[in-house]
Amino acid sequence: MAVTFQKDQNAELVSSLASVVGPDGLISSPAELLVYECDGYTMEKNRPEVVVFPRCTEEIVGVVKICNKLGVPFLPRGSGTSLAGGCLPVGGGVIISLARMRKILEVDIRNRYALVEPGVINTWLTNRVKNDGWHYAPDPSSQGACTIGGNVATNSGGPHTLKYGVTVNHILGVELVLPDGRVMTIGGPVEEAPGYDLTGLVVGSEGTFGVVSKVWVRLVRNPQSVRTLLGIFESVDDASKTISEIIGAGIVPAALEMLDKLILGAVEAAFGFGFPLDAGAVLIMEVDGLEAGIDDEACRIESIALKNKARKVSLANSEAERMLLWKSRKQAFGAVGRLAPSYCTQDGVVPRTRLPEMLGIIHEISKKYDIRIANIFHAGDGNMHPILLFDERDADQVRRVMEASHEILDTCLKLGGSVTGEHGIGVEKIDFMPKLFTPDDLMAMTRVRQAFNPTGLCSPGKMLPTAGACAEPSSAPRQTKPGRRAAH
Amino acid sequence: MSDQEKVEIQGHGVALKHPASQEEYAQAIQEVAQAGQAVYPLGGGTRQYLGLPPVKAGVALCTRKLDRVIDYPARDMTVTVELGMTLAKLREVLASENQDLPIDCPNPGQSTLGGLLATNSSGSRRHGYGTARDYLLGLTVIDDHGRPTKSGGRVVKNVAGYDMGKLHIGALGTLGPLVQGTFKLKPKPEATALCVVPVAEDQVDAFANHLNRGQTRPIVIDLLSAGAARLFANHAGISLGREGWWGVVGFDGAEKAARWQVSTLKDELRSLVSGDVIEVPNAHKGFDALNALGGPHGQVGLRAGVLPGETALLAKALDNWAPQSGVVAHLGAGVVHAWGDPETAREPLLAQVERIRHMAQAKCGWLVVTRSGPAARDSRMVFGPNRPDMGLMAEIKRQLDPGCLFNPGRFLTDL
Repeated sequence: MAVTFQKDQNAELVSSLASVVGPDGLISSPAELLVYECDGYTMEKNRPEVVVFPRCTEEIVGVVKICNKLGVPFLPRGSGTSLAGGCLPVGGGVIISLARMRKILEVDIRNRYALVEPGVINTWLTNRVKNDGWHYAPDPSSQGACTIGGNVATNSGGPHTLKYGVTVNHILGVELVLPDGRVMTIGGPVEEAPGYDLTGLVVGSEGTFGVVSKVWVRLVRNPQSVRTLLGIFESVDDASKTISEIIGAGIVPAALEMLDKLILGAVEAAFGFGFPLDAGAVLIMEVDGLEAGIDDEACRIESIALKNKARKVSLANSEAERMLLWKSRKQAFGAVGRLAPSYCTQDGVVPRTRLPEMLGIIHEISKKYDIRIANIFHAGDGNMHPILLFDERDADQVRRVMEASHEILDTCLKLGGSVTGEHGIGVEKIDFMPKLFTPDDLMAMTRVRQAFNPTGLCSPGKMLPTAGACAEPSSAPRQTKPGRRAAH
Repeated sequence: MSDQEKVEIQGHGVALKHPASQEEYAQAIQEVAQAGQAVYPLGGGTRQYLGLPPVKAGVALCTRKLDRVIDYPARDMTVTVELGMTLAKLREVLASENQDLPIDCPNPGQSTLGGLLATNSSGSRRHGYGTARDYLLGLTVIDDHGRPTKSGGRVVKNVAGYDMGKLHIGALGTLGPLVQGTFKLKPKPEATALCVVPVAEDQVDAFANHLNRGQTRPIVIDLLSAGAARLFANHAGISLGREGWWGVVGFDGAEKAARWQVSTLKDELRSLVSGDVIEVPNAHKGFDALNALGGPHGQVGLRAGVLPGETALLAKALDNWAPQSGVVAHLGAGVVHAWGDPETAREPLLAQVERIRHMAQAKCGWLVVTRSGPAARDSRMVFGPNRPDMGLMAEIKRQLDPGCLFNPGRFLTDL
């Protein structure tokens, strides 16, 4: 049953919420709410009625209880970097922003954990413990902006998840405000307490199980040494064959990232690393571990690259050079504005050995729909990010982008992959869920969601298709089907 | 019924069937459900001592005949198999490609992959390699209506849908039998090395603390009591020549890295412990011996979790907790398991368990009685007091198995 907000509730809602978070703890004017009408996925927009900024768990509880009392939908939001509409307020209602809950509450190196509030920015964690020789491993490219709470919601990945695992492998427990306002401690700094692994279930639940109010994260020791190589290739094909062969050789690099010619141009203009603009593709290949043996591993990778016709393979000679190389990769999306006014990125995954084939297919799709597609992605685990470049003011381009996106994701499924490696289903890919899962599979997931969120007030319209799966009867226009709205 | 095959589960005889396929398994579930009985999923039967005894008449449905390789794209470093396959058989399949699924158990020749997941089996290598939850990519479970339901997929990065697989790991089959899974694999290391070092009682803490900070990156950091060390030495085919605590440190990786770490460990520990670091001549046998320690020794078995920094203290407190005892502490993970033959004639088992549980809880931890000899088992004794999040677990159980078809009464209260 769709949950929507009724406009005449506004005054009562705002005043009730203000009594919990204070008048300076919320915004409700249309101009201020504009920022919250979408997240990093700008193709669908819907304005919330109110955005609140709780400072503590108790305030979150107060907000959630008011929403329950008034029957108003609500959802959590970190930094709004979601690329799948995870923060889209389907049905309007209240956005609970965790931006003011940004304290690192506890760091315990000896016991390998930290306890943080959900609004803590990802890089702050590593910055806090790096002098002790430790770090927080999951490093999504948006890590300078995204929050730990958001990472928990989407089970975020990043370049170094190839070796170190994804967010769920690094979350020990959460404090969760359930959709009915109860506060539940799930897991904690001690592993494997008897019972079901609810922590593992909550990570990646995309805000549909409640509002995470604290997170116990696992900390990991820094490797002793790192070698970061840059491989220059004439073609995407050569680069992707290199990746398949590195993995097939039983090497587990710390990271394997690819950038194609189109994105290289934008990235070089933005960051001036020194990428050759005539290269078909470059590979960032990083190994880490003990100093003893690391150069041998780097050499093996270099040989594989050269065997697959790499023009050149060079080693980052200093930490500064290494950091600039990673900056160019991680902030690449920010450079896309040099290529087109709008972009839409996909998050498909294919088995690693199918990468060369998939990249060829993407190239054909680009020609077929006459849409330029740049490629930058976590090549080592087959997680692709084709960036479709267009102008959202042109309705025909929007239509072609949609169709090209669908064809890319359908192909990922045909090749035995997934439609989302790390960005989440959100609203963007709900229509793909019946392609990935049978009705019985989806029913089991729906039943689990019932255990947490029986009224459906928390994060409605996310991840799981509702029965009937047509547009929500929302007060704001929104389409659940592939057609997206151009900005107006 | 007298010629019906049976299996004993915690002292109760239960009818036993061996469906030959996933379809037959699903059909069998429907038949048992229609008969108003319980389904007891069964793999190799190596750990049916966990949890509580059956409370309802029912049928044990064995998965052993579900043991096919469905897909093994070795260059993708994943494998999809039916979960009645034993770990040993899987390793035979993976050996040809020099790959491994690094989940440890004491009896890989008999334990099925489904059973390993359902019991969340882990061993000493968890420090370097993690546990089952770090390797399961996709899972098919048969639900209470005999319908296969799947989650996850076959690729190493996938966040589509809820991670239902995590729910089933360690769930003791109470949410449905696990019939097919996709695992992430690791390449086998070029070299392995295992070192043991005698650690005096007053040096245990220094040993435990150091390995978090030294130059090496072990995959195993264990502390064995005298009883455990004797058992280990027997299996490993070595002679320790000294009673008392023994530290065990394992490495793997490139040959150069393994050698460097062994030599560095010796240098680093010289000033911390008075004994010499000894390298186990046959490292593989040594790792097998460590795995064997996870088996059901003694009459009573205990398993506790605490903060990693408190593990050595708990281990010491458990030393000689009962006659014929052994204690194994996985120092990096904060997990301790112990066994022994307590004299329950003098003090009831529950009272002894509560004392030890109180010790673990004082260090933010928990304690489970994995085996209790002849003493009666109930949820409170085995798992300890209920926690608030168990109410959520009960609700999940109610949603996924409303009729309590699967292993009723064998896990926590209401699960």
